[in-house]
Amino acid sequence: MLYTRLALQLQAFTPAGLAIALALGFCGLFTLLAVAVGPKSVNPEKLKPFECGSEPIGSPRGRYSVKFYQVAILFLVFDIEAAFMYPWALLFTKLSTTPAAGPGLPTGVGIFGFVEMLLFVIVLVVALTYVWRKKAIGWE
Amino acid sequence: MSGRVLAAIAALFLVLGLVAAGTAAAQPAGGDAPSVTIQATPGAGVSTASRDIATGSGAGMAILFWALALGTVGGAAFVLTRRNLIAAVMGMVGTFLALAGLYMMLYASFLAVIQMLVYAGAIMVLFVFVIMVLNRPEDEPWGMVGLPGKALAGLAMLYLLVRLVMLVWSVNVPDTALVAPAAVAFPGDAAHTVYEFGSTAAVGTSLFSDYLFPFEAISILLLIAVVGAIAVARPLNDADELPGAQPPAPTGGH
Repeated sequence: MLYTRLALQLQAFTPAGLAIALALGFCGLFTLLAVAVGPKSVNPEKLKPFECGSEPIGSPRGRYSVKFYQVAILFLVFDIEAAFMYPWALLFTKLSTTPAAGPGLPTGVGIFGFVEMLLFVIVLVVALTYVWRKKAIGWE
Repeated sequence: MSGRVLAAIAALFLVLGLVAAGTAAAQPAGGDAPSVTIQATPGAGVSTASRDIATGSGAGMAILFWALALGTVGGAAFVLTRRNLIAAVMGMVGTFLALAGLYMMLYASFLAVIQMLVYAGAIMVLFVFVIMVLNRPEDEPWGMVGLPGKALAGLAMLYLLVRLVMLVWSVNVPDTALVAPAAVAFPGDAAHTVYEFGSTAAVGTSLFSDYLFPFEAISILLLIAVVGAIAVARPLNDADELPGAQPPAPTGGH
């Protein structure tokens, strides 16, 4: 009884769950089939790393430049920025509507939502400019 | 090595499979049990205005919860037991996804989506890059050695355990804990639009009205993160790379 409302809410995500189940089912099925049914012939040559026919140069376990990490952090920052735009976009009509002056009168158009996001984005444009000036995006 | 990566991927699939099975089990079963009418609200994603659903889905929800709890703890245990760091990260992604499912069970669907996008997506990328940057064969996990160190670690774990048990003991779960919280209304809205609690629209409604200042402050926080990212990777005395580090791996050599 207590769970019924939650069940209804989760029911809305049934298509997503079904898609995940189907995708995983097919991937798992064919992986298992390949392991179980596929012919196996193991020799040292086949177990070597394959890089387009060339001989591998050096170890793949070497350290990478810290710039990759920098790019990852910058991606994370702008990813979170985009995540905040998602509810804003959903509510934009509501945020741009001013209450009616009286009953029966039409509602007006406001710039509240626009200014809200503008302030948010301006600060992040400052961040982007900083990144640009420091030449952190772009590679040598 | 690759066997462990395969095992990690298999564990991830198992978790996702459990999630999918739980989702399927959450389907309300048909029957002639007393039904409740629920008014669907915008943002809930339910197209019909109202629906009757039968009770009897409690078992399914319990299965879903335990599957997700198992996925969360199992993923964490997988992380702890792996020596291959990439495999450990895959286990962590499993934990994140199961947590997202738990958030969804707590009426926090927006948080669940963000959990998947930001944690399972971006934070995971960050972990992988840390591993790549710090990848050295001689790097052994740092640990407490000797009896004093082990005693200290044991005491710390005991303290943590005691505090957790005290916390669980002190929480008094009200009977209404499983009932959905009230819907959120948009202030100043003549139409009195209400949104399902935890939905994206409801979160946005709070964010863009009551919590407007914290929202704008987030942009400052993100700016600080950008400055920190630039500062942490700046070249030392014009030497672009640390001595001994390999040059960036060539890309596009296919």
